[in-house]
Amino acid sequence: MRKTIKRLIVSSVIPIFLTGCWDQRLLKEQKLISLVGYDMNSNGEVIASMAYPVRKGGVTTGTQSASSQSTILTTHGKTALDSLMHADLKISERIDISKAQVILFGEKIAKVGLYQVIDHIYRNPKGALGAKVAIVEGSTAEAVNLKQEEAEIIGRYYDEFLKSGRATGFYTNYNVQSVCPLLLKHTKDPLLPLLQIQPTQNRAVTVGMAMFNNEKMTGKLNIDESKMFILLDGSKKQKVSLLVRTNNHYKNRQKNYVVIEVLGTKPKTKLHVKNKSITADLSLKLYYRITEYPKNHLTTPMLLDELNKAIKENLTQLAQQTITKMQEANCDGFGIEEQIKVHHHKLWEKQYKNTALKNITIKPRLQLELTNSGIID
Amino acid sequence: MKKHLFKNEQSFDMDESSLESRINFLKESMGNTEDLFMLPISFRDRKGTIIYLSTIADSEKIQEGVLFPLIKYQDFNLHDIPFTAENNNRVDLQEAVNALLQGKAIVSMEGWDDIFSFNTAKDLSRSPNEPDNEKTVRGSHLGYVENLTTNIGYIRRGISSRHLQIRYFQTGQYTNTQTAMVYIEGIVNPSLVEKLTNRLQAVTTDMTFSPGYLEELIEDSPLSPFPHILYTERPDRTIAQLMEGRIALLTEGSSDAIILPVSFFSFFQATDDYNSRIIIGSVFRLLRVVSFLLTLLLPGLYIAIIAFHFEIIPTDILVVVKNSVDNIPYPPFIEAMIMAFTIELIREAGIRLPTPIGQTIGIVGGLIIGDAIISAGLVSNIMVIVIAMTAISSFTIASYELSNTVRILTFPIMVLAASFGFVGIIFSLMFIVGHLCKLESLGTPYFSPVAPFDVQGMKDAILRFPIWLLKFRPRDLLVKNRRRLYRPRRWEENEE
Repeated sequence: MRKTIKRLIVSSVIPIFLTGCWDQRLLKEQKLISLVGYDMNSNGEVIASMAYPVRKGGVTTGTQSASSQSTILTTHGKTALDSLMHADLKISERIDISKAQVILFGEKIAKVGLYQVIDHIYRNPKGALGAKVAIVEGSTAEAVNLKQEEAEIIGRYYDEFLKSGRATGFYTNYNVQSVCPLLLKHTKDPLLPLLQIQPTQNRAVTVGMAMFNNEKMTGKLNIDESKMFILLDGSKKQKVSLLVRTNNHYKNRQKNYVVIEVLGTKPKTKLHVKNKSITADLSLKLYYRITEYPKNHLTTPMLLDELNKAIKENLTQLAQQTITKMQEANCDGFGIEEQIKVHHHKLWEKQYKNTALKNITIKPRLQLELTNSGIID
Repeated sequence: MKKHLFKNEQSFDMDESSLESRINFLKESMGNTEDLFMLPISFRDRKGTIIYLSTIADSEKIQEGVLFPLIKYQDFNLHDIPFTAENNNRVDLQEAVNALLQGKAIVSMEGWDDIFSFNTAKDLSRSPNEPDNEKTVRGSHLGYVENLTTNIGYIRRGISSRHLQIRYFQTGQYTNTQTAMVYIEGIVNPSLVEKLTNRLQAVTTDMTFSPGYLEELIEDSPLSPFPHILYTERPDRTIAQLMEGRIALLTEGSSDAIILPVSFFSFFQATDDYNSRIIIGSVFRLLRVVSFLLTLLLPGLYIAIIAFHFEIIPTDILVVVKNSVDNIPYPPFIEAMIMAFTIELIREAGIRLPTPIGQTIGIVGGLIIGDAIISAGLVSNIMVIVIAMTAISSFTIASYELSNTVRILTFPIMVLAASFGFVGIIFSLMFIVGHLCKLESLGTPYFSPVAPFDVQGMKDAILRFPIWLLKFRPRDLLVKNRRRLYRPRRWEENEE
């Protein structure tokens, strides 16, 4: 009995003297950064802009639900973390980026390389690995500075923005964690959401996706191409709608177009080896329905067939255009080199290791199946 | 041999056969107490006396059951008179003193060696009520009263079996409190009965006024925060526990029965579980187990999260929490302490005060203090939610003892959470689980059926399985007869 009491006293007293290694991190003493934007100035220095919510209202508003407002801070430093350390000097509480929802990169810094900017997040056990990643055309400071009323916290605005973009089908779904292997290995490259800021309207606008070669940004896809990439890649999450031009001789311009909604896809990549050179076949079967057809009178199977053919032609052209653009940017978003490495390893070691995407012929092969033309007929 | 702390017996050098000397002896033995009444009678020209303590003997019973027969049957031999008062047996002088103390009337006649005692004790018990702290929706609403005989009567009425055994003990050398040990022969493990008998006989105190007083003297580790004796005021709960092979102790003058040995999960079993449908009963049992964990961990988890690991909660919630925490002058631990202390104060005040004022205290404490403390900015509103949730969930546990234990245990967990974060919580949980595994109740494992693991026993621990699946009594009790039922739904085979 006495022994137990002795032990109890010892074990309760010792922790008091151990407070030297106390790593308490009180929530109220942290500035929770919700959005970080990295950019580069002309001197090659990293500019970090960050937004954090600040409680609106005084001390006595306890009974009312307190709302938050975003406050913006911009600093620069030699490296990404250095610029954050500079920010810490300007701020009343300690800076904490573990809850950042979105990390934005300026086009300039993306062209230099992404990995070096987010390296400090990977090394930090409390790093915001779940933060979404996006590229901004123009200055990120402007993007962070956006006074958007749709969400109280600007980080949340971008978070929702990217989420909806992914649902609509023109964004890939990468966060800090999942983009890391793609930045580091050479066999597959990431494509990241690309935004543009319209300061007059206080809005961010989707312009497509930024193509990367390894960790460097090398080109841009527009929205249609982005959608096509998502379809070809098979990373479609929900239904993707596409506007397709089927005609161009109507005066009433609306009648030249049809809007289709892709319901399901069956993407398949096949590699053909001939004379030690590889051709990649991207075959894609699309099941779609027509959601808008201003010309109307879609009654006979013949008409439908004709329309299907026109759509197919148009989409194949779009796919070809997308692939060409990606080849130009040397962005292997489909992971074709990875496939070669897996299925034709010797050939890969000899010939296709770190090859430019241009050296591989990529053929899109689309098959379309109309399942539904709407409920009106 | 029982050691006596004081001398209970006196001896006089005298002639015991003379009526006067007997009366004097009894008077002396009782210390000339003034409620000792003596009623002179004569029977066939012999002088005699009826002696009783007027405060606990019923004078009407004496009149009807002893005096009237004596007068009516003057022709009979004294032994043959059909007294209507029960329990007329012959006693010696020493026993007569004890009999007087139990409210019996003593009849002594000149020239007779025998002394008669009659059970004429006053019925001092109240009428049974539903116990306030063990209410049920369905089933019996009967509760124990403060009379041992009545209470045992309730159990006897519930178990009409010749196997139901009752053994009496006298505890407390001044109070001479009657304690009854009730068990079912043929189910209970005889070594448990022997062990408990030994413990009860070894108890030497001047008084025992309640089972709670006795509890500390007979349980295995009295310093443990966990109760390892189940209190109940319900005969039906007692009966169910007896049928599992446990032992019940009842004392005169208390409306509690204590049941032992019990396991940790006995405290989660409410009578309503078995009276309601299988799924519903199981869900509510589960709710109680969850609320136990919630009570134990919620304040600690909240403190750990906002002091150490706030990145584990979603950003949207975090912003709300940060807003409420930002202007609080105290660290979360102090904040939690203020709030938990307030709640304990309200609870304690509510119990001690008479009911109408108790409710007022609840309102003043809960609403006014709660509201004011937030607007004053002393405690964040999230913390109030957390502590209030904890308090409410602690009250859902079916045993008052365990619910208090758990609420007290949250304090050390809060300290550890505030000092070490999640690590502290894990450590405290390890300590608690280790302690639970080590505990014994009357020599049987307390944390059974979890440790030692018993699949059969688990059927009635966290969930309440259908009654036809609860075929065996708990293994940890080492009962004589484990099988509880044989094919109770046999009719299914006969139909169709």
